[in-house]
Amino acid sequence: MTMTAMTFRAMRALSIAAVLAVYASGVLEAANPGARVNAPAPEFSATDSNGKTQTLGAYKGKIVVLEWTNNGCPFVGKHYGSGNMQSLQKKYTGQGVVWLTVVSSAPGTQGYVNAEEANRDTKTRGAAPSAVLLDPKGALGHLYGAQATPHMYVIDTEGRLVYMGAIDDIPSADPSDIAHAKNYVVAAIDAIKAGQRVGVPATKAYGCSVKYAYN
Amino acid sequence: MIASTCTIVDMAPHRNPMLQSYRPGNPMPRPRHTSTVISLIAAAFILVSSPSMSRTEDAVAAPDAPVLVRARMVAETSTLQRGKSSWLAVQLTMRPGWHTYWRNPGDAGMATQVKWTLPEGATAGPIVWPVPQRFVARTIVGFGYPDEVSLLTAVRIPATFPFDNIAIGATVSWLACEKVCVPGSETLVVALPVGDTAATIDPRNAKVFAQARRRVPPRAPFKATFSMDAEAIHIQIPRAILGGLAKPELTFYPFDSSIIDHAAAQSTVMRDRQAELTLRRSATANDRMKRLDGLLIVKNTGSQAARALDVSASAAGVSATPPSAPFKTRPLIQENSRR
Repeated sequence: MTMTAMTFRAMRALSIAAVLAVYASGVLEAANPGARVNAPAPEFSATDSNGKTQTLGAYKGKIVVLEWTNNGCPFVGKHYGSGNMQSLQKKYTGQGVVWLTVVSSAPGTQGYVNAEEANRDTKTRGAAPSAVLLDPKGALGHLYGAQATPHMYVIDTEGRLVYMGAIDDIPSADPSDIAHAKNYVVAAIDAIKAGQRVGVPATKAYGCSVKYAYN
Repeated sequence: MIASTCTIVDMAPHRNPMLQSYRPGNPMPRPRHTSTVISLIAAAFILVSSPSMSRTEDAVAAPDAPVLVRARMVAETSTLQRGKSSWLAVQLTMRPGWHTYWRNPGDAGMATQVKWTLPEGATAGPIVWPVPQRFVARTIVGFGYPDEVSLLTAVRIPATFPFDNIAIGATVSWLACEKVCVPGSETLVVALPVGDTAATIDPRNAKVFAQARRRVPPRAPFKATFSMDAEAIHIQIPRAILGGLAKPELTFYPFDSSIIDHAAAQSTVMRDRQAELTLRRSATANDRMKRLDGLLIVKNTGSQAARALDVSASAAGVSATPPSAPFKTRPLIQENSRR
């Protein structure tokens, strides 16, 4: 069958009205209420895996990275299995950047961890975040509009959100893509350090959906 | 994927002698292949395609994990004709509760990808995507296919194709999600005789193609335009096309995943001659966008039946004035839960 014939058939189908079953559940709401690039990053207060309260305001003057994670997500696995995420954490925390890994998976969903499990994950995968924030109710996730794991945010020394989105420009679960991908987080941090504008301030994150609670 | 995955390290056609068929300026005698050769070609494919398992898949899939997606590839015709296009279908059948993704996977997920391995001169067109379903998990929207999907692609054989058989390879990669997501991929092969006469329909596959085409959105038989401001994207369509609907509801599913906030309500305003659909733009939308391509879903309020139209709206100019009351809206779709 030729393309023309197919288009023709498709045109006829218009009058027949292809039935589209649209199903979904849950509430429609704005995905991203608080976080806007080049605007002040929303202030938050969250408990980390060592029981300490972490606020954004405490890190004024420092670059802050927020990294949404889920230890069962294959896209997270791409960046931890390859050592990519850990090496970024080590490199930048070594330069004074505050790296906050956030877990917004609700209890009973993939990636949910309690404090002890979060610390065990950090140890077993050789991760080096400044802290792991536990967000089982999804408050921090919804505040920033985190949709995927990994979903990355970079906040500059004045508390402005200067990057949000994907970790890099190759949306795949294949670790062999990392070597030739452009890392947006690296580009954002390097731009801040060089006193330049972040060239790509927003991208679409790729990965697993954040496993939020349904209530 | 899990049980049946293989990932090809390098399947460039020039590396595969079985597929190295014709080089311009180096005329080759046309060999007479037999059906034995077809199986040889297929066997070569399987040999070439078996060596490595993807590390990602190893990491997530237990050896006894259930098959989440079964993949196969079928041709509409039992022969292919030189100088013509023929249709192939990559059919994915999902385990109940699982889905794979549309070209725009939504806020997360990953579009199914097909990488073709074709003899020199043969070409594959773009995937013809059926209308997807929209999934909402709180604020995260996905577009995809539960149950089954057939992705159609036209493959063209050059008029000068020197062989009497062809092996067409497709490495299909997908992300299957239920509550969790598991990536998978598989290499599929179709081997067919090639001739100079009109290709004959393969009756065994007629149903797959008929079903797939019923789900392919037709092109909109009207012109659409769009405009953008700081907060929103507005799509204008002729009001006349909604004539038969008492309370029309419009929804837009963009092909590009980075343009709109998929979870935001979409509102329709009726003007004199136009219906205008307003979408909340995302932080990643490009002001200089010239075309906005996607599916326009048209339905009557309260009705389950909907029409999906393939719309390519052209830029009507970027408006400097912000919209008045842009999102004072109801959710556009009456979310009818099947789950």
